Amino acid sequence: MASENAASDEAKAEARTAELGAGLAGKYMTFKLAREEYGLGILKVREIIGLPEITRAPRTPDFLRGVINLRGKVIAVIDLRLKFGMSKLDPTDQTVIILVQYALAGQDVTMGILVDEVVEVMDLQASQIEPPPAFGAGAIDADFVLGVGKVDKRVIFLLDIGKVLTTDEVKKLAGASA
Amino acid sequence: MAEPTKNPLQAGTGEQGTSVAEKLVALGLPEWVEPEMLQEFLATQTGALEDVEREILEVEGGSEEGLAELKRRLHTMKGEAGAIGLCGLERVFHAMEDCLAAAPPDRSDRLLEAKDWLASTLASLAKLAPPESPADKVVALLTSVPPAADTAAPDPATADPATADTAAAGAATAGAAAPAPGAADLPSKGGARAHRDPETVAMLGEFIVESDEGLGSAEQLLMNVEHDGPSPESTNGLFRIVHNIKGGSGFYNVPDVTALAHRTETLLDLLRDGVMELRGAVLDLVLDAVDHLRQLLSAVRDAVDRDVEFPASPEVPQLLARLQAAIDGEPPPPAELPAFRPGTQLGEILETIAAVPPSRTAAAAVAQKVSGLRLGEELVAQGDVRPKQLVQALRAQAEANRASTARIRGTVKVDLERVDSLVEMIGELVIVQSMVVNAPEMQAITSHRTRNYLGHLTKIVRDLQGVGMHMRMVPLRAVFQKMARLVRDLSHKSGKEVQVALSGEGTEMDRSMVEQIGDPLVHMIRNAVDHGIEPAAERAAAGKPPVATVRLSAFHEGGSIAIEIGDDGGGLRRDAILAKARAQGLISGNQELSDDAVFSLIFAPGFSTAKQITELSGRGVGMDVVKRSIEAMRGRISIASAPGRGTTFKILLPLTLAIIDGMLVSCGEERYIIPTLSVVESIKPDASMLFCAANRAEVLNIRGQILTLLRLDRLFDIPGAKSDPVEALVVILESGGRRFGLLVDNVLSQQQVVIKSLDAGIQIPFVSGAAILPDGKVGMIVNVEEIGDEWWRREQLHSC
Repeated sequence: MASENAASDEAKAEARTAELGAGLAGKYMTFKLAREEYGLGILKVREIIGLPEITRAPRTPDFLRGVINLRGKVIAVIDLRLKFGMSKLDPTDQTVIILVQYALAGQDVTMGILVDEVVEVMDLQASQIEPPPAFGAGAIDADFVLGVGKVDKRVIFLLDIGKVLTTDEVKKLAGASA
Repeated sequence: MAEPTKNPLQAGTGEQGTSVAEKLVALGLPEWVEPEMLQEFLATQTGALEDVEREILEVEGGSEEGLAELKRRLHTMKGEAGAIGLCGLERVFHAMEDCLAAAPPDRSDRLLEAKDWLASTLASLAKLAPPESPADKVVALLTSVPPAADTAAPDPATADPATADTAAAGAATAGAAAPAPGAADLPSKGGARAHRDPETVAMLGEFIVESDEGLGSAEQLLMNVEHDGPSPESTNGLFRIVHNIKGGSGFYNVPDVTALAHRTETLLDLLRDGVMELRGAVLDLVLDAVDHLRQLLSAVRDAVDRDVEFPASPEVPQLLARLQAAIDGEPPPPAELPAFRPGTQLGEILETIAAVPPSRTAAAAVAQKVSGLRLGEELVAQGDVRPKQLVQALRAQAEANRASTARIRGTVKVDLERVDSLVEMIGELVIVQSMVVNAPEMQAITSHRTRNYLGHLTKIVRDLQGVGMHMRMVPLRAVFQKMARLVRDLSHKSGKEVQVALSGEGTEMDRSMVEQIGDPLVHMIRNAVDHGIEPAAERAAAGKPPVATVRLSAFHEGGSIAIEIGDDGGGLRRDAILAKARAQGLISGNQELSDDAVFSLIFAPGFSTAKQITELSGRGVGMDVVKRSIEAMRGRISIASAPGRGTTFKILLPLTLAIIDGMLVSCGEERYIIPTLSVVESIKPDASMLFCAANRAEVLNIRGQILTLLRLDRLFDIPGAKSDPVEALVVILESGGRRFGLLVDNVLSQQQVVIKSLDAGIQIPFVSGAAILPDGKVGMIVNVEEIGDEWWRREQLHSC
């Protein structure tokens, strides 16, 4: 009985994994923050630019590094290291801003995310993708990790960029000083 | 796996797309409805719903214009809902229309309830969820027979189609994937499908747009006539406009429009021949006809959109009868007194034309105060002038006045989007140009020729910027005309005699601002007539002319546009405002305030809603809304008021929303832009001006005026700023009638900057936006209003 149950549970879990893998399979652009590698769905990525001069946005949380002028448009830049609670890194010649576009509260939003370096654009098969592990009770709310890609020995966290910076957080940006 | 947190309607590709489509069908939408269609529908409807709410309230306030507008809007929205097969919504709109027409006593409550339902349903639809409560409940609420059934019971003729409609629509909802229940199936629409080919639709669209424009100028002509008296040109102009509409409608076979236009034309023909005069009741009749033509055309537009036969309007026969009566020479029913201008130069004209001795005009001018007639009419009544002479005089006067009214100029219609993108590109060109010219490498060029070329380039770009800016500019005339109409209506309704004096209607403003300025103006005009102007008896007691005046003027002032709304009423009552503000705890008991500060209290939110205040001070309804909309346009509003002499509101607005005059200041390593509109002056303080209480609260004594001194570096946590005020600069700022000083390191320059909104809805405290500086970097624009409000709030906390 018990083993039968366990087996069917396992089968269910496998089916879920397969379903998730099929949903997430596709092209990803991967980048590094410290040791870790992350992936962004390629359709969300508009372009990659070198580090321009950033104008600080006063009275906002640290991770909002400020705004830049992108061909006449003003775009906010998020330092993903600071957002993820890592230490700040002085820019190197690898440091870039990835411009991502996603929908926030029904509006298309373009935002820059500051990362250590861009690694590559890769194709992830359904079989290479696993659901995100439970990050343990009390750990940070990590629902912005859609899944985990495994390629050779590399582990790539696939990000839902819309969830990395949620509506709540944007509101918090606004209310930070109050 | 959870849905990604993107907008569910954002056209999903691949697997996502199919699931969205399935969901749409599950919601009861026809299969052919694309997610984009629903999205666009939701966007327009959500916007329109806000207007619906406003109009319901306006209608409750007795605005007939609002009623007509609401009718039209509901009708259009119904058509849109029907067009994409949202039967539930369509039924609710239909029931709202019925409810509006049946006018039960609690009409506004019902309509507002329905509006709330619509809003929540639209929100649900955006999430691809079914409505929270069924449409039937709302429909039942709207159509239920009111308690006072004797007066407002809907007559069976109108109720019947509604039920049939409900049944038909209900059936359609039941079958989820049923084919689109085109609105044409509904019996109340009176039309079967018309099956127009695309070419006809396009031509009809053009005809409607042109006719709309024509009717707009017709209204303007009529208002001019009401003000300046009729002229052959205005009658001819009207005739041409109506004639064109008649021709077009005949061609497209819209019988109602053709009949109405034809009859109006006949009347105008008589007017043209001088058999009748275009004034008083006849003028009102023509206005009615123009109004009605507009409504008919919007119904036609609606019918075209839904591809059904043109509806027949029940009101047309009655209006036709009235027109015919006028044509037959019967005096049109209830002639109301048209507005007139006292002390007009008409007297002088009559002295010349009819050789009336000045003593008689003077006597008539006195007598007219009692009789309430026009000066000319008074003279006619006294037998000094024959009517024909008066007409001549009025025509002469109109002739003189017409020099100032704009002539119709040749125009090209361009898609708005193209204009916007052109203007945006010019904005970017301006930025890049200044980046190029200011680049150090360019500065290093010594070649005379190259420098010349660069100068030339700069000039052309600047000119181009000016042209671009003007492409979006439209005159305020249409808005002012609407206000004139509003005053006229309000005056009739309130029983107060009010005339309106317009000036500077030709002043141009950014198109989007002209749209936004309407609402605040309506508020202020309504306040002026309802509360500002005293009842006739009070005016008489104060020795004022019986006819009150509301002035509306626009003009350029410095780099901004000023709009003034003034009345010659009782003025704001300082004491009453102060007492109420103390009672509400807005100010502390013993605070001494300047007039400016007292008057700006009426802008405080909450202050306006208190009933007592409205009765006491007679002002303040919705003034916080007014202030907020003005500030949203980066403008300022100020009040001048003298007891017994009236109140004048002055609105200062930037020329466009996209560009402001800014003062670039430095602080530490950073630079910020302060809108020049908020800057009073900037000074280099010397030690004798500066005082500091408890080593914290800094104040500045400027020519005896004590101002709070705030520091930009502390406000924005800027490192490395100058700490000794004597070495730095103080910019004196004004917001909402309150002044304060802001300490900055230096003022770098004054310049126009192109405002860029921050994407992602990110709001930075005390920053209203950003702009690209000449060197290509981004500069933040300081939000002076927000800083002022925050500082004022703290001030109040401390003193209470």
